[in-house]
Amino acid sequence: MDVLKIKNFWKIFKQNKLGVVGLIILLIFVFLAIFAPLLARFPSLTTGAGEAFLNPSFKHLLGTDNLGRDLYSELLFGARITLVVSFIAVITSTVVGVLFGSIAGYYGGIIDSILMRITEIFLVIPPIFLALVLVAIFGANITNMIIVISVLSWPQTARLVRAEILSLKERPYCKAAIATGESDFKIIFSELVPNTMTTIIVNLSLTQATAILIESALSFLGFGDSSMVSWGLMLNNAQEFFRQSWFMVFFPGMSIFLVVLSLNLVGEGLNDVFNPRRKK
Amino acid sequence: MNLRNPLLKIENLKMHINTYEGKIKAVDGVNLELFAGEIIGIVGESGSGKSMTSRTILKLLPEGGEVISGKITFKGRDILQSSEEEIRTIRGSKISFIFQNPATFLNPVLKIGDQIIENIILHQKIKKKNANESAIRLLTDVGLRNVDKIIDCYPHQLSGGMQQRAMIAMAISCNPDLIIADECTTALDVTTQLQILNLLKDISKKINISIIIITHNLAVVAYLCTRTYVMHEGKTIEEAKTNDLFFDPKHDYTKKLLKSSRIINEEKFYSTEGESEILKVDGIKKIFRLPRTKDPLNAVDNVSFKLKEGEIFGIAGESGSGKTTIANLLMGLLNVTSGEITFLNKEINEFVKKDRKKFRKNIQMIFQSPFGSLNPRKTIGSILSLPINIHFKNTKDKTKEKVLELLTMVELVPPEIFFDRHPHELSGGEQQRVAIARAISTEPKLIISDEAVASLDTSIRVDILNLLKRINKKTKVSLIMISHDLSVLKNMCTRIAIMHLGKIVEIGKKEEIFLNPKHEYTKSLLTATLQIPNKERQTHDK
Amino acid sequence: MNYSYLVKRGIQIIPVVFGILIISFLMIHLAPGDAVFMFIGESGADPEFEAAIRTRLGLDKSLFEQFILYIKGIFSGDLGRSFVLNEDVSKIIFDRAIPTIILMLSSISFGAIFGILIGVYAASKPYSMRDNISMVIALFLYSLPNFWLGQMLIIVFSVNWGLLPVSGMESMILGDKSFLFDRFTHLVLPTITLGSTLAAFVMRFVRSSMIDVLGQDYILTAKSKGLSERKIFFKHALKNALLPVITYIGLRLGYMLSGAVVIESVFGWPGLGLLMLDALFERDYPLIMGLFIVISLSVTIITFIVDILYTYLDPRIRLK
Repeated sequence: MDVLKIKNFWKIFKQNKLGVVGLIILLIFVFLAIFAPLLARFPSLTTGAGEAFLNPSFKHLLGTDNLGRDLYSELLFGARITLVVSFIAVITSTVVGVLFGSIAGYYGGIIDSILMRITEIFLVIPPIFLALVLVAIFGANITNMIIVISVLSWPQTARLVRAEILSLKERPYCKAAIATGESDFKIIFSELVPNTMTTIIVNLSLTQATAILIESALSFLGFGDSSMVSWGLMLNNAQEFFRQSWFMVFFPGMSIFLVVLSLNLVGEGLNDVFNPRRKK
Repeated sequence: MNLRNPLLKIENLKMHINTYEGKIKAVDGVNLELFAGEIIGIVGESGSGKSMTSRTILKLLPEGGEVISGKITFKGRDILQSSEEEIRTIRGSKISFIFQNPATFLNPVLKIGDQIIENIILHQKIKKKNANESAIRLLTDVGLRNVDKIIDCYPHQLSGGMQQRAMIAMAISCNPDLIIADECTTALDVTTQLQILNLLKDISKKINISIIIITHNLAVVAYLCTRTYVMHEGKTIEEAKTNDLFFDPKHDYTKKLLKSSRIINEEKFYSTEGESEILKVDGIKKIFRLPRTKDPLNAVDNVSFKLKEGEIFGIAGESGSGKTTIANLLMGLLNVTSGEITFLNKEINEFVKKDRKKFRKNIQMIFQSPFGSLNPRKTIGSILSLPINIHFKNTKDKTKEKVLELLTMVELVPPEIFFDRHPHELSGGEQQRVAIARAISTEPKLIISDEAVASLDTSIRVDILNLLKRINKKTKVSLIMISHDLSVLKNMCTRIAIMHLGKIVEIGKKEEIFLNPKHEYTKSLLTATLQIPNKERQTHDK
Repeated sequence: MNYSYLVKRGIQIIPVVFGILIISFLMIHLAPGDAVFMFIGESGADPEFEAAIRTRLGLDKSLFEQFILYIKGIFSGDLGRSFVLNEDVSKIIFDRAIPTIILMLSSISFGAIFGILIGVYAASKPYSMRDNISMVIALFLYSLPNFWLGQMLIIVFSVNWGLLPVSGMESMILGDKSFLFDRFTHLVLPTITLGSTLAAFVMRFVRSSMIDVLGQDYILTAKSKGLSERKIFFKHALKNALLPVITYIGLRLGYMLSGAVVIESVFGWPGLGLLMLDALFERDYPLIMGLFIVISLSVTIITFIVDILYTYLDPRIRLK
């Protein structure tokens, strides 16, 4: 059964209950993000909209922060940043990662050694450190954030794809393709990479989860784009006000947690579909 | 032989395995008797249930396994009704196992000595010091030298043969009544195989242990076992004294099995050769550098031979002899360190550089494992269309027509149905036919077959070999058959080269090789290769 | 002892070290603004000094020569001088390193132990309830943004219940508490926060490693010898399964330091992470780059040591 066909895929995926839960949560957040302007009661970043430190009420669903801003609205707009930034970063890094990984894995030799050294370097430098330094030098805005997160994420994907290609390369059908006279380009992208699709897809959701964590951490530390609302920024703001309002900490953090959790759950579900464990 | 009470008796055993995809009837009606001091064989092809039966004897069921019905009696004790603790007292002490591949069946992080004595300490409850002495004695008994060093070694430091001897030492350590040897020589090369089988023979006589030999190799059974059971699809379908089995089989399946094995051994076939020489290999060498130590490895060491149009040529050798490296060199997948290969009167490197397409068109390869040689994501039609599209200018319809022709030629009919299937929907034999179709699709002058039938069941082997012969006759394509199995080469090839450690030690017409071997290695290879008893050798015939 | 492997591994880290140095060098020079700026900062030093810096950096020389000078400087321990704090960068880093080391050691220990225990527990009955719950716990733990976890823990344990201190590494006034106890209470929350992510990953890794090992052929051999389940699990399987955990933890070192920066910020822990953040806010470029290099090289070296440790423990590599 070909699990990359939608019909078959869904049949197996829905057996993993947690995966389905994750998918639902994810879709809810996507929905909230898309329709944020419609759903928000108050436009974000307006101060003095209400009293500070209000508890959740009908008017302010999740309460207000130290400047009287509506937490619920902030949260909705924050969702947009989080999801968009992480998504673009993931797509970019995956494309780059697959390119590098497959070429390095297939050709081996110097290209491969270089790739392996590069990925080792990225493994050794603590990601936040690198991100902070880059942001400090080049400035903290949305574009840079996306670039920085992409730069941090592609080595992992490349490594993964390279490992798969290395083992697939030894399969007789790859040797047969060479023997038939297929061009290298076609062999890599028409014979080998399609067989790594399942790995790449699972990796997508996991990479996005990590991307969101990095983005929130950067914003939390104060190095995100301060002109836009983001959940990490909200937590940064809340750092001083533990005693006054724990909502300011709870809701943004819970949102990050839920989105990341849902992505990880979906990733697990995908993994179960593509690499089923053989057990009754 | 104690004819009164069998040591082991299996009655109508049925065992099913519950898997993700449904229920597998692994053992579906097995009846067996074993008497003290006997060596019996259980023979069958892969999937016949022979291993599963043996594991059930000790209640070593796989994940999801469940005994449905039947009775196993060992020395009067009902195995299936016994508790897990009771069975554990039997395992390793009264009944022990020898498995197929000692490299994976020995714990890599525990020393050999440790693994042997833990058995002794557990069952005989003696002190560690005494157990050590026993271990040393055992290892010497199985024919190992430098035993005190081996005790402290880890499995990976020993060769395959030595590892298997260690496993045997482990198995006999507590003086069992029965040893079950599950394909225990399959992973070894021919010469070691014979040594291990002789060892088992000696042990059985000396210490009076019964042995059950489980194998797919009829020749092994002929060599060792007095009685044999044949299994097929989970059932024991025939049982006889070994001689009777070979010369007077009763069941149809047994007859079929014997016939396939014999044909491989006996048939005399000669390829039709043309005049022109299409391949010349002149003093080639290939040196690899080992990854860790950077020692040079002479994978191919000064090999030369020639090949005519339409000829079927064999290269025989055990693993590590360099035969696969030669295949890769001929295919241009590797470069020679020195020497020259001339194909169709052009030097190979030049050929590949200047006229890559023509080179690739004229030389094709069939690989061993059918399961890896076809891209699982593509349809058969797509896989076969690819080489045609690369090398011939055809319309889409013409290509499809050609593909259907090819499928018919390899007897995959009706071809339209196979066109749209994916590899995993085909059996091993069918996939190999597709691989052959792919190889002939470019109308090559030379096809190299690297162990093309090794992974296939005996009954299918013959069919595939016959297919290759037909293709050779029809298209006059030359074939190089690479195999460790001399019987396959004897069946197919006109000339054979014997390889050992990278060199060709002997080369000549097949009759000369088989009837009048000159080199020492060839001789030992031939003696070690077990043969099934021939029809000519006995008196009554069916 | 397999020295050839040691040497080979040692050679492998040279390009990595080089890469780190190149990256940091490039970052200095790619930054908008003059490279001198990086060393002087905005404080507007006097022109004479600026000229001296220029010569010392060799800004009049080619890029390549500058790089050589740069490397020479680093290997002789000269990481520049921070003008914000008016001290040598190397000394600043050295002074502030210990709190981070303490935090890392305690978090790694906590995470590793906790992770191994639960991972082994989960693997003892694969695919059972205990396994599924353990893996879900792991999933939750590594989905948690660790700074949020820290904040929530502070709110619950420090603000609301007053059990543990809110921040910092030590109390201003010891009062009647012992020195050790005080340090300990300050260490608890940061350790749990930083260690929980590691625990989650280790849990999953150990569990899958154990299940992998339990499916190996040699386990069947052990069973066929009549050994008890317990013995097989602990003697035959565990050792094989836990070996790679060491390397795995080594791999996560970079990520843990990454987390340490954030945790130090949440808890006001006076280590290198907090130092980095201060340096970034102050635009103290010499300190920023100095920290970057020291941290990266430290991780490289420690990973190398962990590798060596692994080769010593795995007999397949230790003996040829």
